[in-house]
Amino acid sequence: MAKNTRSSIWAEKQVFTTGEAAEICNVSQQTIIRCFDSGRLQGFRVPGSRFRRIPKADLLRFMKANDIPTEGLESGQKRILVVDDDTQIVDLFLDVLSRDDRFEVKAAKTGYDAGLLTEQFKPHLILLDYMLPDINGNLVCQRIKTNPETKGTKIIIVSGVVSQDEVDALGKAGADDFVKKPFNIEKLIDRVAELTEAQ
Amino acid sequence: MLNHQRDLPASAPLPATPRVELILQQLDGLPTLNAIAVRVIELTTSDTFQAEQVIELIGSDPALASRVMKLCRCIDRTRSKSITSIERAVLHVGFDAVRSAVLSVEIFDFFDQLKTASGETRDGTGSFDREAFWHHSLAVAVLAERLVQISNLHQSCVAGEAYLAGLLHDLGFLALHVLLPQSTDRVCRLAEANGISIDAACNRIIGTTTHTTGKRLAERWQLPRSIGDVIWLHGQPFDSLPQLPHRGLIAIVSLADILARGRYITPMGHMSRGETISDVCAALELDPTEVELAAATLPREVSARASVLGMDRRPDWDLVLRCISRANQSLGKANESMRHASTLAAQQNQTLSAIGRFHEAQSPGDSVMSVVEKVAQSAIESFGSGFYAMLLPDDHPCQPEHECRLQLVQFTSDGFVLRTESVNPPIGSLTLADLAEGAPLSMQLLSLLPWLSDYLIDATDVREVKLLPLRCGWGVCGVLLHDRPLPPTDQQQYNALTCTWAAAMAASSQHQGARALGEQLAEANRLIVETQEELINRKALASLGEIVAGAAHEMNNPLTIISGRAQQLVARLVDSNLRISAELIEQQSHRVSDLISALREFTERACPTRSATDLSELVVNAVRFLELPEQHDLDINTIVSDTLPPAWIDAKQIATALSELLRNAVESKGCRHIELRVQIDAPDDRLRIQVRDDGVGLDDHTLTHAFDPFFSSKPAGRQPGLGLARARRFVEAHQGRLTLKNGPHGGAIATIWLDHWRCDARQLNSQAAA
Repeated sequence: MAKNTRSSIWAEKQVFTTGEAAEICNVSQQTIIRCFDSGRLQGFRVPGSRFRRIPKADLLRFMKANDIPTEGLESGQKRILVVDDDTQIVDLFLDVLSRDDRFEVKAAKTGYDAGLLTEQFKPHLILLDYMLPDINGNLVCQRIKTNPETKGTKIIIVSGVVSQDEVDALGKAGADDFVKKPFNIEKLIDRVAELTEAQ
Repeated sequence: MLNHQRDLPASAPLPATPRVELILQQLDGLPTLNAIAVRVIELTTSDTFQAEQVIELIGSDPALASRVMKLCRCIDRTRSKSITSIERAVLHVGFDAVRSAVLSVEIFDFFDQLKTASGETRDGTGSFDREAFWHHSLAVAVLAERLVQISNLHQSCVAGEAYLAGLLHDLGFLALHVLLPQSTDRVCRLAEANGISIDAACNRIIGTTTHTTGKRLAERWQLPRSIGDVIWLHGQPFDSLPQLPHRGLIAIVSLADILARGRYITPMGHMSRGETISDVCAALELDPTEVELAAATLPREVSARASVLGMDRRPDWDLVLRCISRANQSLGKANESMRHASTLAAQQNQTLSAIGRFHEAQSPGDSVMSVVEKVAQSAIESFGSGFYAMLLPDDHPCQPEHECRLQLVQFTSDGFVLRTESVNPPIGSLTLADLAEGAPLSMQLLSLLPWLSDYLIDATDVREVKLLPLRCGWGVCGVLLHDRPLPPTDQQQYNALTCTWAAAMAASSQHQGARALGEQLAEANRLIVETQEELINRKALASLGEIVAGAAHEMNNPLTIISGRAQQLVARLVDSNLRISAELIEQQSHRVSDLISALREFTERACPTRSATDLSELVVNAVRFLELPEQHDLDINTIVSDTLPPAWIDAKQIATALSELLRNAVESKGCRHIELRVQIDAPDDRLRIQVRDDGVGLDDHTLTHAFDPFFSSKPAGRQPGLGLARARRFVEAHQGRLTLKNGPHGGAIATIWLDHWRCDARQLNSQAAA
């Protein structure tokens, strides 16, 4: 229970000390410091001091690179990013998905915001509206799937106006599924869970 | 002396101008006139001449003096007894008349001596008759002399001068005869045979006229200018004569010439030039009656003058008889000419009749082959029955431009088409236009047309076959091959007949071409109209598509919220009534969304993705997945041939269309039995997929609007009304047609017609490879 509590704390944090990183990775602090100093673990020093700090993304990358289990860092919830320019739609998704403990949900209203949050939030799955104000869904899809750091992210395109040709094009661009608006909530959640479980 | 060996050979004509010059230069080779004649001319042309010198000169030759006095007595018969010497002759008839008498005698003697020297004898074979010639010249001379006396010209023109001018008016022909006796004989024969003037014949054979020759000789002999101009210009219409002092004399001699010819005092071949006596009389202000009177005693006068000049003395009735004889000869020739003209007219009548019958047989809009058949029948009628065939240009539209294919049509003995073959002559063969008219199909020609003998080998003896090209203004329209000897008809008649045939064939060909063009134009117009309608539909659909796409985006988002929130309510509400209401909200939001999707799908282009499709399987699946009412007693009878080949169609689209037709049949009121039949229509190899029901059928309004989007004859609770419209779009995307009608015994019949549905081997292979 205590571990679970610690895990939920670690899941909330975005920057770690070398001591915290040693605890998460279950190694000595000296090992972390050595790796930091040799450049194998990326991070930064606090300005005006010699204290080392490690961003969460760098720590995760380090752990994955050295086959260290990441459960200690993660909460167990799947991160879902909802991208839609319609506030009501976003609210509906947030309402539906937030009620489910399996998912941690964040939302973006433009392609630009979606890009930023993808970098920060590292979502397991994106529910992407095809017609965004600044960029089309297939382009967002293509960029995420061609980026080595995000290529594992699942994408479900959600739209009311996509033709079959466009659905096929989205498939080629890397979309994992297509859901037509309006949708059945249960089926959508089942599909989200199915795709994120596979990760 | 005159050299007759210099006559020009007929077989080797020289170029016109050098030849004429050569002839005219030969005039210089003629001997000069008698010394007395030369001296008389010299003296009379001198400014200082004295009459005594001339009288003395004439008197030095008693024989000449005697003949001159005789001539002078003839000029003035009232004083003939008082003319006993040259001096008295000068006194009574004038010096010019005496001079003319001297020149007449001397020039006649000159040519008479030339005749004697050359050993020429008068022939009666129709060529040049010298005696007749002199008789004619004397007649013209005597008449000219008389006409001057009765005209108002006697003041300016003495009778003796007119006499000399008349005597010498055809001097040129006499000179040509001396130089070219054989050629002038041919001239006479040609003029006689063809009824043309001596001048025209002379020009055709020798290349010059008697007028030119006579003028050159007159100049050489320095004859008086008036005499030379008469020789040069006589016979021309009065109005066209130049304004010369002796214009009247020229006209008088021309008139005398006409009068003499009219009385047949003319050598053979001297035909009338066509002038009328009245015209010349009017120009000279002569009374025609007086003129006729002057000519009445012509034969006697001519005989008298001939005697004076030394021609053989014959009684004046001999000349009359000879004139009658010539008149009879002319009459005979006229009869012969009329008989020939009659024969020609009969032949022309036959040809015209054949042309008339050929035209009568024509009908408006006859095909080329029909006209060709009628040409063959006309040819059989004109030339007699035998072997007939026709070579035609093959104007098939699919023929490559570089090929000159021909059609060879053979006919029965009745002139009907026996067989038609398409012939492809080897490159370099003679074309239709190259074939010589009427040429027999000789071995030489067969070597040029080796392919032709292959086609005719069974037909007839190819050596007997002749070619008759059918030409008209369009060119050679065809070549008639036949083995009949053509009847001896004038070439122009053949031309008229063949040109008529050719023109009819050409006109028919043009008509056929124009008709084909008209049909193509009508078809093109129809396509344009259809394309325009299609374009308008496409534009309308495209506009609708844009609207629907925008609407879909704007409407699906709120629908998503409505639907999503309703689902949340359904999950949370405990009150069943409220939950049912929430469920209804969700269902209706989905219904609206489905409608939008259907509309959007309808406005999108339905490009078929074709593949080889098993029609039996397609039909079975369409029936299997048909949504039937829960409690029904429907009977669906499927009739599909086992031998149907796979169809090259978009299976999904055609299956959707068929499902719509089946659904409409199922939903039709009173329907108990549905027949689904798939078959190939033999005549045009169309695939027919037909759904027939036994319901109440369709009213007129429904039939008119059945394919309109959102139209439905069903009451509330109906489908969106896009089914048939969508089905038609899918069928038309296959370039097919979807028709809807009522059956003859009730019920409705919906049919999908597909023209282009068969798979070819390449398509099957490519699909198999894929």
